[in-house]
Amino acid sequence: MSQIQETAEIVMVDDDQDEFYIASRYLEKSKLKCDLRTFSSGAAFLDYLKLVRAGESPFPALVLLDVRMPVMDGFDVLKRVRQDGAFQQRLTIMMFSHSNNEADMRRAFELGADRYQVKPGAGQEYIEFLDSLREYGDF
Amino acid sequence: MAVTLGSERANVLIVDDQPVNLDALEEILRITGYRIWRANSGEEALRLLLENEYACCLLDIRMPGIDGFETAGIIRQDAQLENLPIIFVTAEAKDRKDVFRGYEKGAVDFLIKPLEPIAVRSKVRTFGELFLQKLALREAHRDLEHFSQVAAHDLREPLRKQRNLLDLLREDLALAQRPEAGELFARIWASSEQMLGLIDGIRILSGIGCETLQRESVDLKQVIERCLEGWWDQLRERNAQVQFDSFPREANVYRPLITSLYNNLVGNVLDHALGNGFEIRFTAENSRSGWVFGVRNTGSAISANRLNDVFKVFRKADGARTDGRGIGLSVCKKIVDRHHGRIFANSGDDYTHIQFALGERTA
Repeated sequence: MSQIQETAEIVMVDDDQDEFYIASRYLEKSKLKCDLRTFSSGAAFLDYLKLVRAGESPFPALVLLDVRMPVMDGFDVLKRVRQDGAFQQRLTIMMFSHSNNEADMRRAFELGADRYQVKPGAGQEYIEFLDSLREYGDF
Repeated sequence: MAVTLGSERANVLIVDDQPVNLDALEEILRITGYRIWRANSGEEALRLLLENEYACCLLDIRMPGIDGFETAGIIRQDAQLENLPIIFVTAEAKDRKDVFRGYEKGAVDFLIKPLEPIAVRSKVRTFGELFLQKLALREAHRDLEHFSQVAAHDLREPLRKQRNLLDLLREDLALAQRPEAGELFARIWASSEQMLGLIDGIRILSGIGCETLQRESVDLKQVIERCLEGWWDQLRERNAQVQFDSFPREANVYRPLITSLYNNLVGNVLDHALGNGFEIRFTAENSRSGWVFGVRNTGSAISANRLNDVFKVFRKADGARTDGRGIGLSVCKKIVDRHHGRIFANSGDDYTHIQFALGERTA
């Protein structure tokens, strides 16, 4: 059994540490009340999902998954997550990319992403994006 | 005889109903290194032509079924094949006069049997080398396009991050309460904005990020006023007079592209207008064929023989005072093309007027 969650959790997978900093700073300014858990590689995130499946870690309300990462890119991660029965439907995965390349978007949806989001620009744009995430959980 | 490197990438189709003739042709052409494809009828030739791209086709005229002339006629009516070079092959001298008849498009040549190997190779080589050059050019173009896409993407991302961090820094330092630092920050912000515009311009030129855009109904005057917010400091500094024609209530456009269009046009004016106190007018004329919009400014002129050149990449109009953007107006043209519209420049002694129609169906 998963433990009782105090606050909902958003997971962010990105090889760029700056993105975590930016997101956490804008989270403070947004209307969201949630924890941000970060992983700087796809492998680290997949390891974490094993704990989630074992009920040792809370089930993430939402995953923001970077597309361009070294070694294992966002598509590889997405494919592996969706192959796992425990995460086929329940886990909401949003691709979080700096590219609005059409082929990337198509591929993301083919592999089972729930949404494709181009990383937002500065200030209000970022905050509005975070506020829009409330449709995915009780943040 | 030397074989061109990569010559096997040039496909040559030989068509004859007699296998022995195909054998002979293939033997003659072997030394060219081109990839030879055989067809023993007009029908088979047409099937192969649709599957691959060929440097040229050697076509026997006398064949059962559809003969060489009929095959050529079908080839010339196909949009993809109409420019395929055709070399007719015949034993009948009297066919010669028919060879050049009725084919306006594409190259046509002929060979008389018995075939002279040197003549055959020479004619085929002409088209083969041309074809290889075409392939090389196409690949170079594709590489360049890919490079500019990657470059624009990779340049944009650190800039986006930098702007996010700058925005956070502004808050942390409470710059709004410190006029001098605030002004410094505003300048940094404006210059990074300009950089972003430039990168987005390159993106538009190389066609990325535009695939998923949708047309929407916008208040064009409002879009322009939004753009101007980023330019007011410079406009005020140079004491520019901003005027508006009366605009239609809405226009059906790709909003992000139109924003970029007006940003480029205003930037263009600031780059080229001499001195201060010039006028910049946002024009809107309702012509019979629909609305024509534009930006007209005093204080700069383009000479008549350069009017058509200003939309080409890296061409600058005469009298460019500063190191202008170089790509600004070509980005504008690309955006207008994307709207299926047209863009043109007018100029007089002391004014420049860039005008465009946006290919809207509604008036």
